[in-house]
Amino acid sequence: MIKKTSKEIKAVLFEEILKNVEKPGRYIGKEYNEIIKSGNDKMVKIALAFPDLYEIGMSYLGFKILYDIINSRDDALAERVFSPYRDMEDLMFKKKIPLFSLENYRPFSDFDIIGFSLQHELCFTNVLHMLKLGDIELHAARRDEKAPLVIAGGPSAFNPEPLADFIDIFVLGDGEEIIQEIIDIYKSWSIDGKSREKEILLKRLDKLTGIYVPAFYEVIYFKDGTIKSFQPKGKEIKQKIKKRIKLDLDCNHYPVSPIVPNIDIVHDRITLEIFRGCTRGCRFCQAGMIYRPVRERTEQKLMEIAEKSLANTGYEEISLSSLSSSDYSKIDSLIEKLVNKHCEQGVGVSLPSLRIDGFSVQLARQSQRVRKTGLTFAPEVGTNRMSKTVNKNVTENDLYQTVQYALQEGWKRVKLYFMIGLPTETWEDIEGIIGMIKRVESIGKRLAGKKFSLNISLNAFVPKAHTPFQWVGQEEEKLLLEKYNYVAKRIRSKNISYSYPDTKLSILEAVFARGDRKLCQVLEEAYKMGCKFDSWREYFDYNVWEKAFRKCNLDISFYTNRERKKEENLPWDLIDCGVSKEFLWLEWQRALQGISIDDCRLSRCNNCGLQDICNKLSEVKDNKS
Amino acid sequence: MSYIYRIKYSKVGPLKYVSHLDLNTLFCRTLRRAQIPLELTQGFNPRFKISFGPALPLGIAGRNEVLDISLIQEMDNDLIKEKINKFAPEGLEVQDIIAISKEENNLSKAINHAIYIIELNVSGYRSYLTRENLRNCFKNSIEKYLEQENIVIQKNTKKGLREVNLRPYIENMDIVSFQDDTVLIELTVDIQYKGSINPVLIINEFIKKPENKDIYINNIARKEFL
Repeated sequence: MIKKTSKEIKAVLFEEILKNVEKPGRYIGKEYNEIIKSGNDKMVKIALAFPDLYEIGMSYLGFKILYDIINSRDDALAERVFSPYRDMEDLMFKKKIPLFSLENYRPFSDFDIIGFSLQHELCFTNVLHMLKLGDIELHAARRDEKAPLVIAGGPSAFNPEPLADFIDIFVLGDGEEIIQEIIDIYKSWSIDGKSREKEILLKRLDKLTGIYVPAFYEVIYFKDGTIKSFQPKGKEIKQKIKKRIKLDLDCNHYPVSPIVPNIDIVHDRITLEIFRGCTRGCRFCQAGMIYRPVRERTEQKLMEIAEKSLANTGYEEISLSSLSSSDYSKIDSLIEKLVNKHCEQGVGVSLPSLRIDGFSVQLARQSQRVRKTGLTFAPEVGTNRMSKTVNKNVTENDLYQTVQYALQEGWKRVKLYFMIGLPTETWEDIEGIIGMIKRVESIGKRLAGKKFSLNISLNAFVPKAHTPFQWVGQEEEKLLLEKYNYVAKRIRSKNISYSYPDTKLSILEAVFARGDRKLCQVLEEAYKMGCKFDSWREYFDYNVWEKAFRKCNLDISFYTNRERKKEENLPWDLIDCGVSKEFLWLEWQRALQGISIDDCRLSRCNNCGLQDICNKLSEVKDNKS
Repeated sequence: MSYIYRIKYSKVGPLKYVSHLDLNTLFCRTLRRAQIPLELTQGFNPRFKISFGPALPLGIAGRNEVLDISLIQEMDNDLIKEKINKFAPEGLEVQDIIAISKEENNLSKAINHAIYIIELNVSGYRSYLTRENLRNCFKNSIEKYLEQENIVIQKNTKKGLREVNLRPYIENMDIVSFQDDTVLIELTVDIQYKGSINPVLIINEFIKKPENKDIYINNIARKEFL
């Protein structure tokens, strides 16, 4: 294909393409606060690539943080690239234009560095798809120093192996500092004419804490397909890859002038990250493990961020974001201050991820003095036994009391999240979920009458890497479906609506969530056969995936339903997320015995592996106060 | 006490591709950034008191769109304009602002017609004719089109295919200028009849006629309201 320039791409886009696509606003940028740098040869040009649509990618805070940090440097620029939807892709193919950035309509392959954000496993085909649309060689080994350096980060980078063949380097943990170091190293490498070899660049980058270069390791397998060992290719290659941790979030860069999209996106509001990490220790939750330790921003800093962000964007809503927002140590005072300061201008404060207790309902009431929407809780399980097993530590009574309180406070809509297919689950637990839903419905009818509406979201449990459940086999699909249908049949009622996901999708998610390097070829085969946007039901085609597995002689159940042994080398064992494998195993044993543990912030240390980090963290705190 | 202002603004360039619903959000955020003291509605979901003129179909630019806003304090017209323009995204620009009385605060009564400027590509149209003949020929085509009592089309709606008669919407259609490859025409649409209609439907029906073969739409913009 003859290479097109930015100018040519822009002309074709505006004259021939935009009027023929469904949502043209996705492809043109030009939003308020967009940063457009013309760029010169000396600048390090970075494409922030999100392997999904504009509306999804624009909703992530991490993406905005990196955009802000990179563009604040004089010697670098960041531009956004998203996956085009089907109609757009067809037209781009027809008009022969490659994937391009929104800022300058720059071809994807013209960037020095491409950074993918991996938010979940079902976006992996889109990573390949974007490279392909950008005329970039898929295999890292076949890209030389003239091709962009392809890096990837985000939660799904914590089990990077299924993408190992395609990505040059993975970035683990907090990106705020490491992105600066990557740019510095890239810059010095690229002006150093003599040693401008890719190998040298990778070796220099590998010295950074938080960087994983998959090409530097060989994986040796046993006959049964499990891993015998990871062999570092060279003495200077590290044995384990530690994730990057930024201890003090207050002195962090925070994007107080985020782009204000011209079209509606999924989370169209200011995201105020009040803290990072969570120590609740729910045993199914990957985020709760890989984002440790808990690091709070101070109230003062948050007020400052909120005020600047509102002024710079004109948004009418602030969302207090974290993994468990009621757990912020001064949450009531923070909400009160935010509401008092901004409520008069019609600005709403929203509080996702509510804990199940009266305190949280009070917080919600306080924050929603301006806007009143439904309340969402995640009991996840239906019996007290299961609650202990997953370490959720919420009793049935907690839920009833909380719902009752919420309804007395005037809410009419409640949404509940449940998980099906958890380890040790019996039909009694399923009955427990049904009983809980019915009890909540009767409380609702009694207190809110006909207006009461209950939305139930049933999800299939998917075992994830770096969690106490990383060894368990996923529930067989047949049984999952049986359980879903049973619950659905039993809870049918005028007041209740429910949704449940595609079990096939959960299977694919489970494959990649704990997949190894052998899956790279499956991924490539599936992509070549047309798989992409797998998280979108209108795109997802499980039959093709099955075909790809057969072609590669690999067995899906090896990844999903198989229970792993304690001594098995897991594909993500190379990655040290801070929480130790010993702790995770101990937690798994406790789960089997139905023993729960306390949140270490409320009680004593559980020795999860981050003790040293926590000590350093308290030093940082002491120094500040 | 509320102070009402009627704003004339343009929605061009990248904002052509922003829907009416999204424009509403975008305008409100611009007003917030500009710190214009807007009046809020009562209730659980307080919103700015603003009302928009007829929606523009996606892909069509608007040069003089209208919008009424209600403020809680009086402000200088030029200052409002200056502030909004300073904080507006690319493609949105206030052209003019006037203060209006409460009685006048009814946009749907204030505007009766929408005028569109349509640029047609005629490079392939009857290339064997001389320019003067071409112009006459084209003029006749328009006259013939407008002579019809009914112009009925099948329109795709949410409720399935529906018959729509375009003729009552068309107030006037005229040639503005005739260049080598392009013709500019002005289309006046009656919006008091049954609300606004997408001008593309009217033009598409026109260029579908056999005698108008090889005419294509280059560009459509809404010039103004009357």
